[in-house]
Amino acid sequence: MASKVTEQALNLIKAMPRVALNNIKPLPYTAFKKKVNRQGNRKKKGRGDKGQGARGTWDPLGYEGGQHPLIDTSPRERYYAQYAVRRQYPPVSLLELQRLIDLNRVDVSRPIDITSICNTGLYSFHISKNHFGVNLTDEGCDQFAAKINLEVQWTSELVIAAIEKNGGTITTRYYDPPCLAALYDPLTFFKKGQPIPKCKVPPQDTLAYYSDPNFRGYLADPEKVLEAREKLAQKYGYKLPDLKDDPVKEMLLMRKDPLQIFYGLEPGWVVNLTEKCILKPKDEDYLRYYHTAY
Amino acid sequence: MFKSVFLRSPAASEVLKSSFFTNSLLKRLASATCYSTKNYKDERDLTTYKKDVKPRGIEKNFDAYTPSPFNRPGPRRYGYAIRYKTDGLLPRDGKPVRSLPPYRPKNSWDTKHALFGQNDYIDILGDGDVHPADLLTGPKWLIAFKGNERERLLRKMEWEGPRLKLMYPSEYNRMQKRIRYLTKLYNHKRKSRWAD
Amino acid sequence: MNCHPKLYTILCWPVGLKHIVNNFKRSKTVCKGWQTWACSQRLQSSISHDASKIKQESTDSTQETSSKPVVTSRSLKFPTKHTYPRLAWLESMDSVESKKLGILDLHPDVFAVYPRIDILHQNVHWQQMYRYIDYNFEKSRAELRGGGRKPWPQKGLGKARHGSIRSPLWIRGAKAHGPRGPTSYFYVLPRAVRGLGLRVALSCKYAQNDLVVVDSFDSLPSSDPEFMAEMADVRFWGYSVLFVDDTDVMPENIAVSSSGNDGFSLMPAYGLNVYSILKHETLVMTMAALEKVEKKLLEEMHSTDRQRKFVNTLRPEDFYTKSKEDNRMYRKWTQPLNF
Repeated sequence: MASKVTEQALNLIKAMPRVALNNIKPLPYTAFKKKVNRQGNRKKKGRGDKGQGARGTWDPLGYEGGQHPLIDTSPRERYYAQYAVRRQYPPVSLLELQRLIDLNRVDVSRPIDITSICNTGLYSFHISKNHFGVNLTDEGCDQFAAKINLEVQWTSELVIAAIEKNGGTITTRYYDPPCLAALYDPLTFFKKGQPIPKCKVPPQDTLAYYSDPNFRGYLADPEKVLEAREKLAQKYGYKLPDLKDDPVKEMLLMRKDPLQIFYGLEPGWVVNLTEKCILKPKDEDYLRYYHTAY
Repeated sequence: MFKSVFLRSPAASEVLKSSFFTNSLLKRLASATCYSTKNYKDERDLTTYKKDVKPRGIEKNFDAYTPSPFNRPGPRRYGYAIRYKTDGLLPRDGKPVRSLPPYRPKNSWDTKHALFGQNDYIDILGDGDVHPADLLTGPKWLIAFKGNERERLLRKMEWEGPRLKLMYPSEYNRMQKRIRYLTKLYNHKRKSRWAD
Repeated sequence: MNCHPKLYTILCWPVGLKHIVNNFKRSKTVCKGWQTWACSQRLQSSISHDASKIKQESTDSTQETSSKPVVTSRSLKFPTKHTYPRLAWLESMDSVESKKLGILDLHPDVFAVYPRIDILHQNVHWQQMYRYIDYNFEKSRAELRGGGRKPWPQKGLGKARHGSIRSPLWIRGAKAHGPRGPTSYFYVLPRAVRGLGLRVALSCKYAQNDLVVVDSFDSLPSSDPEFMAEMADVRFWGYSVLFVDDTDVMPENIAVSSSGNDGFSLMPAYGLNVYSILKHETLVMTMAALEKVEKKLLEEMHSTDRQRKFVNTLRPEDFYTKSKEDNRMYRKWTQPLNF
């Protein structure tokens, strides 16, 4: 804040007339904003006089005067094929996560999920842009040194190894967009007075990922996950810490139900913030709906 | 106009002189406007307009200068009599001028002006429950709202419509008419979705 | 008082508290610029007083300790490494001449911000405009009386063609684009800009020596407006003074005396705003108000909350003063009775 320039400026106004209502003004560039009228019928709409520019009859992009164009001869690589439909996972690196932990932005003594990462105010995603949660990347995997119970939406093998080496656990978990909206900002969701939604089953193309023990999918068999943990430890050559005598064993092994999105709250419940109570449904039809996947 | 015609033709003046009443009238007129004396050298007699009197200090002071005989200010609109006074302001006699609003000087240190802007930052400096927009006053449909005339009218219709329809039907009709006009204008002027 | 307060202590210190003076001298010779922060830290460790203690001393022995200032230091939250805290005198209100009760640390992020005049202008403009409603109204050509008939035929008269006597071309016709009805100029300045505006205004006040910090307004001895006017005159306060206190209810003496003077205004801490700070020449704050304002502004600066856009959620139902009448009971009586 207070650089040399600030000091100079503050010293400067000491000798100046008092800063008051009569001598404040905006920055000068706001006065010189030139407005070009591109609409309307009367004049040339800023397009100049005559010719291709005025009539909009340029050659199409990539046209080479009749020669077979480069764009046609070179092979295509469709990076953005079906961009509007594809699921996106905005990334968070292990280094950033470590930094959040060091700055006490996230609480290590509790399981970390997408809500606690969003609550730091340093990460955000948009459901309207087909964002489906966190992709934890492996940048800074050597520096990572925290024992946490983490739940993310997408990871790689190296990240899983980095977290389990430090004695932590990790799960990959799918949430559908309405659940993500509730998880992104729980307070506004609870203020709406709607029941907590149940989480849907992942779509077909991701079902294999989320039921894969190698990626610690939340639908995988827990025994196979234990096997995969040991295999991974052998592959990367570290010793897996023993969780039996761990003081925080309970916290590390906390998992959500596949239909559940908040710890301690079941789908179908309504959180009443004004009276500070929780309303639970008793109707059997409701219960059947909220307790079954389909 | 009629005065000057009569005065210039001698026959007419004789006719007029025959009657005592017109004679006396003529005299009175002559005394008022000095037409009958025919003393045209006296400039005072000819003035039927307000004279522009040059201040003396501005006169050209070199000797060779002689005033032009032609472009002299003469009686423009000769023969017209001005029916109103050109002498200056009339005496007021202590009566207030009705066309002027009463003079109310602004006191910039009364409560309204001295505390202008209080609580505008209450969402930052206060407990966080209140926003300055909550403290605004004015027409209900305009509080914390900005829009063009059509949007304003539609919002007013939503707020006050049923009441106006019952209590002030002509006002209601006026608003309906204006909304209809503005909506047509809006649909005509706005960019078509399927253009180009 | 025109020189730096720290320099002032060295030059004009009467007697006593030698080691503190030595400390100051050492700081002057050894340290330069932002390293004076360390000096004030040392002061804090050697003699530390809370705000409450100062109040006690000032009330107990106001007459005795005129020549014995109490050196104080506050512990600032969100400390900055890149600059040093600013200093201000803590004064008392119990006499016409100002008595120095001590020195205060002011947070540089609030009281030494770059003087952004354009931000001040944005804030003042927002304050004036967001509440402004223009009631001017001009009737349109459709709303004026008459004008439905064509005044004369289109052809054959040698005159210009006209369709309505209320056309804007005509005398006594309508205005083409006149003001229409009550118009609102409401908009919301971003919260960060408003917070910065307050900090810039306070910084300008401090830099131009127009910020005065007093212990409290309770110690004002008289409710005479002339006493207050004389005090402002002697202490070189401006024509207009803004008194800011933490509480909502002010002491009687200052309320009466300031209401007798033009340009003397009272305001609670939460009512503080850029327009009033700039309108009044001098800003007098109690220590409690200073701490509250500083705390709120720093919290605003360092908060990680998502800043949402202001959305107007007002509905016609929100303005109903009484609930709709329940006429069900009366309806029974209107039905025919069955005997």
